[in-house]
Amino acid sequence: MITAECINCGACEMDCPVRAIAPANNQYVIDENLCIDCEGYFPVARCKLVCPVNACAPERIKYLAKAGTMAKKGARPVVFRNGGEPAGEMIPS
Amino acid sequence: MGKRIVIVGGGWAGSAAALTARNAGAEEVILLERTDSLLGTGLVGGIMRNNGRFTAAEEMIALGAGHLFEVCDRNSRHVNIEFPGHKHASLYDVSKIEPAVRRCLVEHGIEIWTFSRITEADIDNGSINAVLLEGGTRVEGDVFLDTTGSCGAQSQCTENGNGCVMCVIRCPTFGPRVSLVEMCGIAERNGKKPDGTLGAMSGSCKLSKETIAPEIIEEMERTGLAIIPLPDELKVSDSKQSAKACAQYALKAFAENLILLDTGHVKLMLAYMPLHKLRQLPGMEEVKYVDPYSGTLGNSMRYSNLAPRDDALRVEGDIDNLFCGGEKAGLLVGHTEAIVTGSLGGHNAVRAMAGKEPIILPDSLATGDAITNVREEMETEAGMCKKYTFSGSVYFDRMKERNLYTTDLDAISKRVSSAGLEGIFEQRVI
Repeated sequence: MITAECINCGACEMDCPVRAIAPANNQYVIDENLCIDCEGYFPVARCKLVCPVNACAPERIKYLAKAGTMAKKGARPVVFRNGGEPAGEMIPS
Repeated sequence: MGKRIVIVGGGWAGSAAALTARNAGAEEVILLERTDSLLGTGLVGGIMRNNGRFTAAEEMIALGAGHLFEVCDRNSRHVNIEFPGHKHASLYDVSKIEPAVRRCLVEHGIEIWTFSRITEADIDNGSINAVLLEGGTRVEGDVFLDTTGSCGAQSQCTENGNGCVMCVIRCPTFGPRVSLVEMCGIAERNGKKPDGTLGAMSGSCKLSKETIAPEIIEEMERTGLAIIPLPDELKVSDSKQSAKACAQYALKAFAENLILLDTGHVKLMLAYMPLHKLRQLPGMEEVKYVDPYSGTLGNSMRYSNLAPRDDALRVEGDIDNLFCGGEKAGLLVGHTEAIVTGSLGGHNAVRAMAGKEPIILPDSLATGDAITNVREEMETEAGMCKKYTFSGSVYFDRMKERNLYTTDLDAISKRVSSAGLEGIFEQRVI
């Protein structure tokens, strides 16, 4: 995604290897169905590299993971029972 | 493996069900809770024993399901206080109640699983075999109880309320409320506001004590409450009052005054009020919301996903091992009410495991009458627009008409023993 900090410079559109970026109403947007996180083209996502204001965050997976619930992040049940310490692991390391 | 009951939802109803299930002899009781703590909306509750709730609480104690009421009594900041329209109320400390309930449950041998949101039911031949947790864990059981409540999800708060106001339910962190009944393919219903739109808004907020003038806090800590008259321009409109889930507080005194109760935090008896308006009141110039964080805008929305059930709290439909309790079981609002239906549901679930007939509380008891009356009322369109509680509004009127409301402990214990039900929830059935 591209955050609201976008200043409409167009650098990302020009450099995108799969033409996944286009101007929209107020800013540029990444078409998430086209974006491949630059895999196979560049070691670092191109738009993130060229963006002058750090508004491009193309790693959808990372974004979705952070927006997800704790269970989606891998939290497991913590079980409380008589005569024992709470067992379980809340967040995987 | 012994007989196992799996309770989905660790609010007041689920906690009560876990205790009666255990006391009825269930070998394994697993209480699944979506968040990191028990009690759900009970974490911002506090008011017990007001009006007919006193009778209901004492009936439950006589029936042998008094553990949670004792925990509340032990953790009360104020007992026997009076505020407009409400007599002999107790206020439990919302900051202390959760660990106390958790301890009580664990000591009774109940397993509490937190971070355990269910996403799927494994059903075979009309019975639930297991529920699957969001993380993939499979939890098998012999009988299941849905006490997931009726609050949220965010989509419901947005569609029928004023948007997500960041309440104690914490949908984004733990995932929104689920409904086991719905996962079983059983059609559910939604409660309505008097104007016919869906849902009802929770009726109180929590304010931070540190942000209110010391003289108000001193008064509140001494007497349990503080009443601040509202200037004309801040008085609450009728429509806002009638949208509330808690009809027992939709009284004139609550519209014309700011009523603050001492539940550890400051319980503001209003669904919401813009912060800048609240700050116009003397002594409240620096006040801050604790729950919901956006009490400026609105409150959590309730009354979606109400299950069809009989008077034994068995869910009606094609599943033979599913019971319910709490707000899931209908428009009976409040912590006391949730403990009542949860206790009965938990007990009857164990009876079902043992192959025994469920018990139905008779209408000579307020608790039994309420369970039946609310089910019958909910069969009508008008009935779906009302809210029922032992503490006020239509059901408290009915209690008084039928001479069910009393604070006489002897009368209550006689009532329970003449129904032949003394200590019934403490007798093993398995």
